[in-house]
Amino acid sequence: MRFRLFQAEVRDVPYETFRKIRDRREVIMKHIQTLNTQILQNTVKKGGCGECQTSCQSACKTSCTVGNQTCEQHNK
Amino acid sequence: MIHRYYNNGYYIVLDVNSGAVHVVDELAYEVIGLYESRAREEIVEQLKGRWTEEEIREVLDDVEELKAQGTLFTEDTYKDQVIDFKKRSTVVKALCLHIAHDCNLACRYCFAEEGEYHGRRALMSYEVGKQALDFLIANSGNRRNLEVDFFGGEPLMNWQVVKDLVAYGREQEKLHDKKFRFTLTTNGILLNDEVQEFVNREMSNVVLSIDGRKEVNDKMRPFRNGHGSYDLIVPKFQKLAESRNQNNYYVRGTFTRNNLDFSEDVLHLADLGFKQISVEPVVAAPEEPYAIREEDIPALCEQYDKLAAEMVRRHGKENDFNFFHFMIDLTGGPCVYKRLSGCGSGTEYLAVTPWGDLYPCHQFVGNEKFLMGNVFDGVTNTELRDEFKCCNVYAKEKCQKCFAKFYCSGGCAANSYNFHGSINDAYDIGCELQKKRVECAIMIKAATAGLQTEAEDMRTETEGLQEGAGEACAECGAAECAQG
Repeated sequence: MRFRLFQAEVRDVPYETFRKIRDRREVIMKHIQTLNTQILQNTVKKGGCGECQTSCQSACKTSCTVGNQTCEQHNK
Repeated sequence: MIHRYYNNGYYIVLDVNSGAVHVVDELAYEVIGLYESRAREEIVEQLKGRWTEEEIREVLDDVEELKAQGTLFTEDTYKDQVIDFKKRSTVVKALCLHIAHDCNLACRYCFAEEGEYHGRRALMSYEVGKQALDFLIANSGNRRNLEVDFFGGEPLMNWQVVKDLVAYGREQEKLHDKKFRFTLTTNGILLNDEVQEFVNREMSNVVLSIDGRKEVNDKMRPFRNGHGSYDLIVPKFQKLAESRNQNNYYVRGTFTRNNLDFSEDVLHLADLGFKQISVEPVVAAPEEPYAIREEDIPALCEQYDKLAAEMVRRHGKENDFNFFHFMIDLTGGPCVYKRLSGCGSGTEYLAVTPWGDLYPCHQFVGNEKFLMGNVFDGVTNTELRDEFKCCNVYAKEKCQKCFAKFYCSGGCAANSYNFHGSINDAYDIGCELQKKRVECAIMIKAATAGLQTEAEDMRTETEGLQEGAGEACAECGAAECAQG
């Protein structure tokens, strides 16, 4: 992960320089970080209460945006 | 099904069916790209020129672990096992009340045709509005939270009725154990202190229409005499936004072919002090000169990238802001049912005309083919309702292979109908822009997920190393020593 950030932030630094940093700090390179622990399969059992906001009532009136809605049960 | 992309320095892998988002390094990005089509040893062989075998195997182990956990390469198990759309019972939980089919502006792109919706000018009477609220309560089943948006035309042109209906709703919610969430969508021309005070007391959200820079706004949102509206509305909107502590409102704009550099408009609104911003592409018939064309898509995608990168730069600073279409909830977002069934138009969401007719949503109002009934007799066109009931992600061929299907839920039925004559299709330009917005939204999450500190650490340390790059190592004397 550090390597990716390294690439993103300090593009002009040679790879060897990066290796020096990594080796000296004894960083165990982790290649994958998962941002979310709540996965969709877990919502199958408890979902579907229908109390959540209707998407077009928020701030879009000409396109459908559902993924940004918050689960009402999660708010409780 | 996975979607891999690179954006603003981040390699991102979205596992579509679980919704899991993985931020990865370049090696993991390559491995995941090859994983389904190559055997393990083939992947090692293919990539070992750039990475060590040990590293590649480490990533392959990680990938297999994530797959076993159900967050990578997951199958779509929802289609057959979870939902029977035909059988599902639906209740009405939201109404878009067209409180005024009239407007004091003459916006050039207005789908309501300056408020009239292809029909006559009209204001909703208190009696019709009251009946609409009764209809909503009676048809809402066990749903407690009910939403009512005062929409138009311009709802402030019928302000007394709005206030009376809110009062009626507050009475009724106590009697029926319901909770009304009222919202208002306004162009701000008639906004004053009295309206502001009422809105802040009663409305859970307010949508304030403005397109951005003065010249952009005034070109498309003029008065009927041709004069622009920007100078009149900006101070009012700023005052209202502050009075709501910069929460529970949106300034909402529309961009057209006239301002393909729309990120400038979003940033203009942010620089005016607005913290809650929504700016959407116009949806217009292709022959309109301001309609977005397919050839505009690359430029618009660049604009979204530019805007997203700027939002990352502003994150946590005084000038940061929220952009509605980059909002994405990765931890407490909607359940599968919601994601599959979409906006609910024609079933749980209906629009009411000033005289009480029911339509599947505000965009269908005026098209007699979509008349569903009225607030006095209820939904009488049950065939049409059932058609909307079955409108979902799986009913749309185009959505099957799309990574964004659980974020837009199949898109807007009205747009689909307007461009393809069917609610079960998809508006293609809208799809491309939606996909880009989802990518940007996830990138912003990745960029603001607490990884910056690590990046800063690396930068500081790297700078230190580079400064001393020409010096020999103190321990062994070599210029390129791994000891540092």
